[in-house]
Amino acid sequence: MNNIVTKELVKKLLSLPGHSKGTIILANLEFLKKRGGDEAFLQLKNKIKELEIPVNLEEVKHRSVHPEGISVLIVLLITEILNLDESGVFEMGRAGMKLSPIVKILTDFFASIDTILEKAPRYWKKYFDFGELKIVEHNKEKKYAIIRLKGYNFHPLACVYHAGYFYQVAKIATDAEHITIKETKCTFRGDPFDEFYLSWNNETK
Amino acid sequence: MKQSELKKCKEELSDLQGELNKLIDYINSFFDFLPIPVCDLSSTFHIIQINKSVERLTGFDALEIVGEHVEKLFPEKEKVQNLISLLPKKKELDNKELVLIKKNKEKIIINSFWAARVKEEKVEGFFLAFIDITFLKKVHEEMEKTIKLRTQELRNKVEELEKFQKIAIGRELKMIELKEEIRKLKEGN
Repeated sequence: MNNIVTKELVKKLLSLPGHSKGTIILANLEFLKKRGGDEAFLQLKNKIKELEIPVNLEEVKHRSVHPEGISVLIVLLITEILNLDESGVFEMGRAGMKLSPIVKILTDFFASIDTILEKAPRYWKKYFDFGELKIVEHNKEKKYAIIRLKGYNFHPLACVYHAGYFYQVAKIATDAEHITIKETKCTFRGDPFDEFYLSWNNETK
Repeated sequence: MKQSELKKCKEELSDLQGELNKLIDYINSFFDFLPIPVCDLSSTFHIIQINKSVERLTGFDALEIVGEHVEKLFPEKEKVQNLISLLPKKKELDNKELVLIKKNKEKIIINSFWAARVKEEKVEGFFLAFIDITFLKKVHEEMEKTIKLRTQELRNKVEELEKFQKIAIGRELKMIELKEEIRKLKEGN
């Protein structure tokens, strides 16, 4: 995908309230370096400068706090630089989980999926100072859950990114061979919140 | 809460966050420096994290292998299943030899070390470290072969020597016999 990030979009996303922890940005930068090398990283730095996005990538730390708009803009710029389609953004979301050891350790992602889902709203608050993540349905027997994300209206591709992230959490925390994630409701389609249907099958390895 | 107290709390929080960042950077650098391949595994034996040494040795990138079941690295599924079934009880397993399959399908022999991560008596996950012993194994096997060969050669030499000794002693005895005969003949004359 090309030309997603315009000066208008930068202005719009930076005007939205909400902050998140730098660990998310760091995982995405790691993804960019792994996929595109140092050259891609340099491209990102140049684009950030060109678009006057107020962030110094060298100063981003795991526990530093940044406007969520910046975090989303970085995801979108990486999408442009690596020329990713939706499945590529989904992969970036998965990588956000794979490449962030601190998130995995501090949020007990070594635990079972049931524990993770139970604690999910608290995990959200650890990394975001806005919005709300809720598990509106969790069926342990049938192995599915409905995840609701309220108050997050940044960009439709952020939903794809989140879907990838949730998919990877289930992949790590379950022993299921097949995992399904589907965004059933979306604020960008007129719904009042985003909702994801996550299921992991009964067949185990 | 007074303004001054609130300010103090905020400063303390900021200091703690700074310290935490330093610790995280330290752990990450140390983990990546480790020359021994190390993996973090979930309680379901999925790979959570790998260090750079795992990437270098196996050829798998973190993006490719994180999230996969640890079995993916090992072709001897039954052997691995057996090991991981012992872990929740034993907590630690040392020096377990396994065959590991690299991304390029090359098979190497490793010595593996497993340890459970326990929190409040509950197993939360596992650590796995391994050492590539393919070269050592090869050297060992070659040495064993050489030793076998040398032992056989030595055995053959000993046999030869024994034969020679038999002949030599036989010859010696015959000489003594002949000398005795000569002596007797001389005495008879």
